[in-house]
This record gives sequence, structure tokens and C-alpha cells, in this order.
Amino acid sequence: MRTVNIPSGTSLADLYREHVGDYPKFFKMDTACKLGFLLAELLVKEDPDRFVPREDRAVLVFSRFGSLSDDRNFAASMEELASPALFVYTLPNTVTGEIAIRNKYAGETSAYVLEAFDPDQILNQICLAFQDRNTRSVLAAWVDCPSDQEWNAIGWLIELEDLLPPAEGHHCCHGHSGGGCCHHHDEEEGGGHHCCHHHDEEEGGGHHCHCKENKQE
Amino acid sequence: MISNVNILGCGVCTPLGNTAQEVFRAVREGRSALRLHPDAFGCAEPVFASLFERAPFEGKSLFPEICVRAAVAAIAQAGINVSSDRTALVVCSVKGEIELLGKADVTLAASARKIADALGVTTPPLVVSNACISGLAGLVQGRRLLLSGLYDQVVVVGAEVQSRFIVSGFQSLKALSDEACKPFDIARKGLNLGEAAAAMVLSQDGGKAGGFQILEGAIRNDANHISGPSRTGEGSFNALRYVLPAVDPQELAFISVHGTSTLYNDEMESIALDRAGLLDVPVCALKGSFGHTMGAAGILESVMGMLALQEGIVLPTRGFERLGVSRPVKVSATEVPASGKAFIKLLSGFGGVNGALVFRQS
Amino acid sequence: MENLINELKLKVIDALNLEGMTPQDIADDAPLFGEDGLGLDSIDVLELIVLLEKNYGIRLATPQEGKKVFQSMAVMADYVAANRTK
Repeated sequence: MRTVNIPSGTSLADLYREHVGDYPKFFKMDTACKLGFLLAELLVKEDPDRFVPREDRAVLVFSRFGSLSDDRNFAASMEELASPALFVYTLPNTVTGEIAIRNKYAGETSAYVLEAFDPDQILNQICLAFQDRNTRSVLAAWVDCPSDQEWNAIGWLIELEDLLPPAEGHHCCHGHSGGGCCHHHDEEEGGGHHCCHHHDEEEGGGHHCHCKENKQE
Repeated sequence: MISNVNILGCGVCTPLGNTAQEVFRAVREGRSALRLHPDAFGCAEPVFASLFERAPFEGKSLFPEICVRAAVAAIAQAGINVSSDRTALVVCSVKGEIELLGKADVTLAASARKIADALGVTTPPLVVSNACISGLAGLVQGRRLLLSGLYDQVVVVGAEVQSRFIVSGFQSLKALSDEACKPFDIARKGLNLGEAAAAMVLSQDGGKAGGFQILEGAIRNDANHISGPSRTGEGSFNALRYVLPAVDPQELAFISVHGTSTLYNDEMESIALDRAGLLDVPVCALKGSFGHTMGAAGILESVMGMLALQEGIVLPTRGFERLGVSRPVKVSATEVPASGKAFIKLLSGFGGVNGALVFRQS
Repeated sequence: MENLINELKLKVIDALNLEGMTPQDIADDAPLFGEDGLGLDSIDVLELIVLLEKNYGIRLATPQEGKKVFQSMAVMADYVAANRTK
């Protein structure tokens, strides 16, 4: 698992020039999209075959404020003449769209709004994304912009293998039996629910999840 | 089948009616609440849209109110314990309460909290905001929450309320038609906006004979352009390709498409359907009946699909007269008989998102 | 007309966020759209339509009309000079 962050107030133009430099559409994006774009850049820059189209990487974006900073900019433009270039970004999921376009990610893209930064909820959602059989990695980001000048921006790249508990006897991945996994299984053995969190202990085939209170079957 | 999820209840709140049956009957009879509003929201140009009368909602914020009404109806039909810690709530919308920008907390999280409190939901609500596929994406998420074992039942509610913000935005994109929209028609020139809320209760338990299930769902990005659809229907095609194995082709009665009545969307969908080998499956597009209800669309249009399948029909595509896309899509202006037990819901949205869901009646 | 073309170039650079470009970088007759041009897209056409209305009081009804007017800075300047109401 890789993680990066962009401190609030960093010059995004400078970061762009340092790491990219040849993608002029960057300057049309709103702040949230610039942040998502740059987080992704920092995470996958060194990947081999990085611009080969792929369907096996999901892009998930989380925030509390969604597109609020761009909403305000668009609303201000409405006073005179509404700007289409601003309107197009008044959606939280455009962050995932810009990452997908740049990196040719043709898999799932999703955007969620949370009440606050909550690593448990974020990890849950990432796990659930692996239920899509094609998804083998997730590029996730918390991009929270109350304004164009301040933000919280953190990104993660999580591979399916990162979610496999290390203990023996666990299987993971598609279509196996008896393991704890966020994929849905065609058959369920030994009861218990599926969960993608690492398990501290495994009891007789059932699974104990320490992140949520769940009943044992 | 352990990966199927049952739909235990549905509810709607729309300008065309407040029960699913009422709305279904209206659509079947070719009725619509779409009309010209000369000065809605203080916008420069008149807007052709399907909007709620504001007076009955005086003193309430429209968005959470219609969400609650739709969800209450679905919960009542499902007969679940909404306050159980095994019950999740998923709220889906594009702009939520945006008309309160500058006056109140317009984050979708704040709106979802109001809705959860009003319903008596005790678990933290999940909010999906994935452009115009939000409702469909919410159903995909609801299904995953159940399959993961984290919850036993999920209430998924999607809604959209129109405002000067959204109308001005679409006007700036020149995406609106000043007349009733015409999905897939040669004379189509843009979309109509709509308002609605729709809800479903999903569970792996409680399935009945004759009830509906969601068999599969997928979301795929075009990875092409931030607002225009891929000319080759990449994302729609990939979403279809993912879900099609879950359906027996003999059982596929119809496809309820996005059909916004813009030049590009309807053409793109026809290409996606062609690529997926689905051109001989009847298609229905419902935005000529409700307008584009954005966050509600995925759920509202699916509810209509379920009722249609139950009646053994494909609903008429209101506004369609003459085919105007490059592929011979089977759209009909009138109701036709349906044969089969399953249908697909297909949607697209800004940011290059596309989604597909398979519903089947058991 | 020189002044108008220069003024237009500055406004276009600003409206379309063409970072780092100056009027000298845009030839008067260079195509604005397509691979060989500035690589502008459909949203840029719409934004230029707003620019024309906001600054010169010209209302273009459709993106198709816009594409004809925005072929190059010179064509745009001619059109503005002929049709401006501000």
C-alpha cells in the first residue's frame, strides 16, 4: 500500500510543473480535481505501462465538502453569466473523472461524502469496491476543500494483496471458499460474514471482525 | 443464490404522483408533469421541467422532505426495523440542498444526517454522489453492503431538487430543450430537468416468489472526457459487458436506458447497445415522462421497470417519434408486450461515469 | 483591429485558463480547435460564447454557431467588430 499527501497551501502549479508539465488541461480543473490529479500522479508516476488503459483499478474519492469550493465559484459566476467551465466541476465525482482520464482507468469510479474523515468508513468502502471481480487495486483519496486555499488531501493505492490477512488458512480473492474477504462468494462455508478487514483471530471457520460489532452466525 | 439481493419495498415522491402505482399508471397513460416554467428560480430563460409545487412544502427543505417520504413508503412496504443496528441508509444525490448555498450547511453529509434522524436510522448514513448515476450507484453500494455481511437490510434513497444553481448550469452548457424532450428522436435537442425522490429497501432475507432481485451491478468510467460521453460508448459497453453474464438472454425483457434526449448521449447509448449485441432487445427511455431526475433517476426508473415487468409490458418512450440514432435501437412511442423476467437499467453521468444493473423477477 | 485582436487574446487566455500563454503565442490565423490548434474542446466553445456575451453583448445561440466564429482569433475579431453591442 502506498500513501501520499499534499499539505494545505502547497503551490499546486509548482507541484504540477515538477511532476507533470505536459497536461495543460490541469489548469482548467477546480482545486479538488487538481489535488486528486496530483495525488494520483504521486502515487502511480513510477508504474510501468502507466498509460496503458486498464479496467482493473477502481478510483474512489471521499470528502465532506464535495465540490463546495467550486460550487461557490460557480454561484458567483451566476451573478453575471453562469460559467460552463465552472459548472462542469460542481460534482464531487469529477475528481475521479480527471484521474481516470489522465491515467486511462476504465474501471469503477465512485465518490462518497462522509461527515468527517473516518478511516474505518473509508477502508470499508475500499474493501467493498473489491467485490467487483475486475477490480484488483483501488486508488483512493480523501480530498476535502472548504476553499481554494486550504484543504486536506491524502491518497492511497491499495492492491488486493494488501488486504489479505497474513495468517495461514486464509484464502482470498475471487470465488474461493471459507475465507474472509470482501468479495461475495458463491458459497459460504462455516457461517460467519465476509469482511475485508484483517482478522485478529479466526474462530472455527467463522470470522471475527474487529472494526464493527457484528453478530456471529 | 447468495449474491442476489431482494427488493423488499419501494417508495416514490414525484410531481406525477406519490405512490409507485400512481406514477406507473401515469407513465403508462402517457401523462407527465413536464411543462414550461416561464420564470422558475429567477432564471433568464424559461425552463421546461417537471417540478414539485412548492406551496405544500412550505417551511420545509424540499430535498430531505421528499427523501423521507419516499423512504418511509419503501420501509413500510418492506416491514423492516429501520432503527436496527443491522439497517444501513444510503443517500444518493448530485446537488442535494444546494439552493441553500450561503445560507446553511449544504454538504450532502448534513442532509443525509437530517434524513437518517427523521427516519430513525441509527447507523452512519453513506452518501453517494456520483453525478447522474448516483441512484444506480447507491443500489450497487447497498447490494455490496449486504453481501459483505455488514448489514441485513439497506434503505437506498435517491433524490434531486432543481434550483437556479442547477438550471443555470445546464443552460450554460446549452444542454436543455425548451420543449418536451424527445429521447432517441431525430429532432431531439436537449434534456428536460426533473425533481423526484425514490427509495428501495434491499435485503438478502425476505425474498418472496414474484418478488424482484438485483442480480448484478457495475460502474465503469469512459476515461475520455470530463463532461461529454465517449463516442464509442466505452463505459456503458463495459458496464453492460460485466453484468450481462448474470442474465439469461432469453429472459431479458427490456433495457431501461439513460435516454436524456441530448444529441450525444442517445447516440452513444445506441453504440454501446450495438457493441453489447443488444439491439434486438426492446428499449425504454423514461425521461420524457419525468425529466432528468438526476440523483433519483437510477432508482425511480428502476422502480418503473419493475412494475412494467410485473405487468408484462415495456413502457412507452414518451416524446419519441422517429429514430434519430445511427443504430436500429428498438424504442417505441407506445407500450409493447414484454417477454422475459429480467431487465437492465443503464445510466451515464458527468465525469465519464456509466452504470448498469440487472433486475430479475423470481 | 490590432488592439481588438490583442484584447481578445488576453481575454481568451484568461477565460480558458491557458496557463503560461501570452498573446504572442497565439498566431492570428492559427486554428483554435483540433490537434493542430490550441486543442480547445466543447466546454471551451461554451465558455467563449459566454465571453462574447459578457464582454461584447453578442449572443450566440448554439455551439455550432460558436465553432464557426471561433475558427481563429482573426475570424473572431472580425465577428466581434461587426456584431458587438457593447
